[in-house]
Amino acid sequence: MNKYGVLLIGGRRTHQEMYAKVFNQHPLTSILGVSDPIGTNSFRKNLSKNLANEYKVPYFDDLNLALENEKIQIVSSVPKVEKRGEVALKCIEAGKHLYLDKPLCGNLEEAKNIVIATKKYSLKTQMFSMVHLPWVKKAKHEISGNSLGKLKALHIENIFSKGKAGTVPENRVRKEKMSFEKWTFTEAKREMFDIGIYPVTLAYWLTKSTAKSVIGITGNYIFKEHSDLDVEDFGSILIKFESGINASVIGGRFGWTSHPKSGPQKIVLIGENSTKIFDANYPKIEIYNNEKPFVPPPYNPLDPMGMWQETSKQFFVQPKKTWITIDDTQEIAELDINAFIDCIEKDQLPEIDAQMGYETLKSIIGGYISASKNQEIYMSDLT
Amino acid sequence: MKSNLFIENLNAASLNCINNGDIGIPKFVRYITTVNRSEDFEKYAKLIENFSRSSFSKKEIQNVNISDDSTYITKLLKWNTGEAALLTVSIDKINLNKIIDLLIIGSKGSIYHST
Repeated sequence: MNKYGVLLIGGRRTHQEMYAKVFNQHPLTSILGVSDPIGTNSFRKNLSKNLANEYKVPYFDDLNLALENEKIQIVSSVPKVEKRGEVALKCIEAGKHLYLDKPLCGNLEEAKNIVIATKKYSLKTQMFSMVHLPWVKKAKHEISGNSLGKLKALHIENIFSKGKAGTVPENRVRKEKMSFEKWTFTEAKREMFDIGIYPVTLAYWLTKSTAKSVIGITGNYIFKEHSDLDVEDFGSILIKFESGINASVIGGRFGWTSHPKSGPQKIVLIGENSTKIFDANYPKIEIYNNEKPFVPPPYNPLDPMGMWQETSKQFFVQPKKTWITIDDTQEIAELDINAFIDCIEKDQLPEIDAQMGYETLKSIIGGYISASKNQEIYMSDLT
Repeated sequence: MKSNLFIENLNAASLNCINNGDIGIPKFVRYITTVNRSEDFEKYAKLIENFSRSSFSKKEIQNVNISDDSTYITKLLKWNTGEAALLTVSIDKINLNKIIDLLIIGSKGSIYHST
């Protein structure tokens, strides 16, 4: 066994699929088991058992018992959003370092409790993010290099090019809500929460500042699935930071055929002297040939938005071949988990810890409230 | 009729695609421009704001401005029928670069331009 034993919470059809792959290959970690929160339904338990079988490790029916195992030092936690706060606290109280899927959880009070517990037990927590990607680091380097002059504003966008576009009922106008009890659905997700967390986290990380207020908008622009569930497929937030820097972010989903690759991912830095754009899809080559163009997969009732690798195998998703990025890209999870293990080894604070997870959640919740009221929301008014 | 200003021709071409139904119903405009002369700042801000309005042609219910007068202005517009636009104009004082980066999201597809 390697130095750190890892317990996986959550299984197939979650980000745990990609996290498990990295923990399995990392020279300092060994996966010792898979478990789920108490009360998990049999469908999800079976998905976790599938993952346990894949890595030939036991499935623990009782999470409490699994956490008593002293050989487990790290928990990779990907329960459904509604269980994240409770599970994270349990793991921290059991003395485990915690690798957390994004977003941290769906409730501000629970998020705050995770932060308090992390400090009390002196453990490392890290939330999955994009901050270790090379093109993102270039943007950070540009700010610290000061070639733009003092940073004044930034724009960050991340829009996923998956799902069948154009199915939203005509004349659908989203009326945003102020209740946040349910985040997990089969057919769709709240995209400003689920994808918007990436650019919001980058905005915090790049500015190294805390938000003063937010203005948000949400839309049902593309998909029937989101509209039927009354969740947004698109969101945008203006964040006014205490430092005086302002950020605009976009997070959403707009369909398989709306982009030649996985979707727009950009960071725009506006300094007092100059503006610079960083693009995940640049530099690239473009290929046009006599092969059939990309055709979206058939409708998959268990995963219409093409979120999970597992079902995508059954409902085959062709690779998009028109744009090929040139820079060597390591897997995002590999970069992120490597950085987390480094922080444990060197006793350093992870770049995106539970505190940052709490701050970013606050901005997104504020964004929803703002969208529902059509007004600016001050962070100091959110508990 | 062709304009001497590239951005006006870009706007006209984009609007033509929208009117042809190429992206379904337009839903969101994200427009970023960087100008290299301070006298272009207001003009470009107006041009992209007017372009967004012409894409949606409905009643605005929200018009938020954030800016640092000498460097940039960002506007978030929202219409009563749900559409929205995020518009930014900045000034490049060092490299004197002009940037135009446009993304229009429609219900069925998208329009992109990057200069």
